[in-house]
Amino acid sequence: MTDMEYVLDFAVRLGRDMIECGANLERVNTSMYKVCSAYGLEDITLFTLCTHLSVSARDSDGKFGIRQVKAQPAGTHLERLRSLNELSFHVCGQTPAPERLGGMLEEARNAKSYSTPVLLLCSMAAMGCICWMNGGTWRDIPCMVCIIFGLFWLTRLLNRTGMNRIIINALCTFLAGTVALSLVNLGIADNLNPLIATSCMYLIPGIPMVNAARNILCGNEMNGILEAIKIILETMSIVGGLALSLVLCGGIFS
Amino acid sequence: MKDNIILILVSFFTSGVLGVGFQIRRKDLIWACVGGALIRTVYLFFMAMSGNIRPLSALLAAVVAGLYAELLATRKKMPSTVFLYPSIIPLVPGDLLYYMTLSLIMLENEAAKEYTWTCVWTLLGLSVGFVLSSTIAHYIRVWQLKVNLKNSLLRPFKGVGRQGGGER
Repeated sequence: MTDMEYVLDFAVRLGRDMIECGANLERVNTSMYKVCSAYGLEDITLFTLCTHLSVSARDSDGKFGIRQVKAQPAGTHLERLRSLNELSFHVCGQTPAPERLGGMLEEARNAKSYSTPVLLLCSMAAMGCICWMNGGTWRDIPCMVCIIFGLFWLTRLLNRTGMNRIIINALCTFLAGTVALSLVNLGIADNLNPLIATSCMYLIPGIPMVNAARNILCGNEMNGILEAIKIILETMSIVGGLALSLVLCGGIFS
Repeated sequence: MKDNIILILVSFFTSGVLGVGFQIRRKDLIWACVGGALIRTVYLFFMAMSGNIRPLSALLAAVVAGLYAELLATRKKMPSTVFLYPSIIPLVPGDLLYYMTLSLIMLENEAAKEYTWTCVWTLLGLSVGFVLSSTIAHYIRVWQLKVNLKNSLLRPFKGVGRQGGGER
């Protein structure tokens, strides 16, 4: 492999990892561009969507190279993003030998993560608090925590099966709505609204929703529009699941 | 007043635990907590000042959130996203989406219309707020680096291989 190929490989994989950690596209583009520039590549052209990255450039001998990869945003991992960002700064500043870049990227990817029990506990605590903020009572909060416990494992399980996010959302909201209605009708919980509103907030792609609107305003219109369509579909599936549970179970209980 | 203080304290805690969910390392969690409390305070303040106009309050709070994240990112040499995501949780209009759905199911067209518009405007307000704060932060950096501000403002923008745009 030539030096340019190593650099392009590194740049595109760095961009993909950053997107998969939850970075916004401006940050990803800037990092990839600066890495290529630091190694003296010219005519750098980037095409990035949140699911696809492409980088092409020309080296000092006039040879062109191109790399394309597919990205699958898997959630937010801000510690890995910090580590990748640090690596991109280090590479731009020190320009280490191109053959070493792959190994350095692997090291940066192995950023520390919290264990699953910690994540579960934190999700339950956060959603319990949000339930209270949404007007839940002290009897609603334990019910909310139980619903989040179920949703946490269910979303993990369904994500592993590779099921479409739209179906996962519809299924999860339907179950959350049904459980919430049952708890209220059995007299265990006091209010339905905070329980369902908080379950929705757990599933709604809130940050991608803000990012999509931001992309449209920042000049990444194509990605912003694609993201917005995806979010609208995901949100509609949440609405559909919720509507189904309210109509079916609401009818049963009434 | 007492309720608001409790709300701010709960936001402090919530942003911290959500920061764990976002996999922020332990030593930076405190900044997530402070961000959550700060943005909640600012949001409550603007809600009170604007007579409960949610989109406007979200816009102004988003500007503060963006500036807070950019300031910390510059000082700690980290991506602003790390500080921005946990801070904006109080601003995400998830509850509006639920009430919009509920109104649609109950065939309450007026309420559904109102919730839909508030939700859309709030989202737009948040986005405009972030864009404004990044622009302000950019020119603060330009000023700090002692680059000629007039030249920087008048210089034509050089993108980084669009589609995608780059730093402005």
